Amino acid sequence: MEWIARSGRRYDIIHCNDWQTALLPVYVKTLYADREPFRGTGTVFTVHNLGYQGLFWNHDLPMMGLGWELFTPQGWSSTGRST
Amino acid sequence: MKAGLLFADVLSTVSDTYSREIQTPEYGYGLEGSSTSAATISTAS
Repeated sequence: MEWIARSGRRYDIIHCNDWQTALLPVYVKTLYADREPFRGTGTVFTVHNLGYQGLFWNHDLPMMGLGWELFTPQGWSSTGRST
Repeated sequence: MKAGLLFADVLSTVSDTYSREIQTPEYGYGLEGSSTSAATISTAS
């Protein structure tokens, strides 16, 4: 994400696959939403195996630079963990 | 994984069949409702 922001290039679509890249759509719409290179960037998320969700301790959320407002059952909380 | 389902503009899966399966409790692993909140579900094939 930061490389894109500094590269001067723009991308129409970012295609993400499974949990390892699942934070990118979040960053496009939150932390990077006001950054010029990401205006108009759409995201595609492809699920290969929903069984591997990448569950993490919820206190890792601030490490990712994201706020607690996203950590709800309607958001990405899953039985108290972030996924 | 759930974050990607909720925040992506378009979702896809590896097959038509799998796109339906992950919306069932048996193969949704608790996220069977999450994929339906996104704008679009399409398939990669």
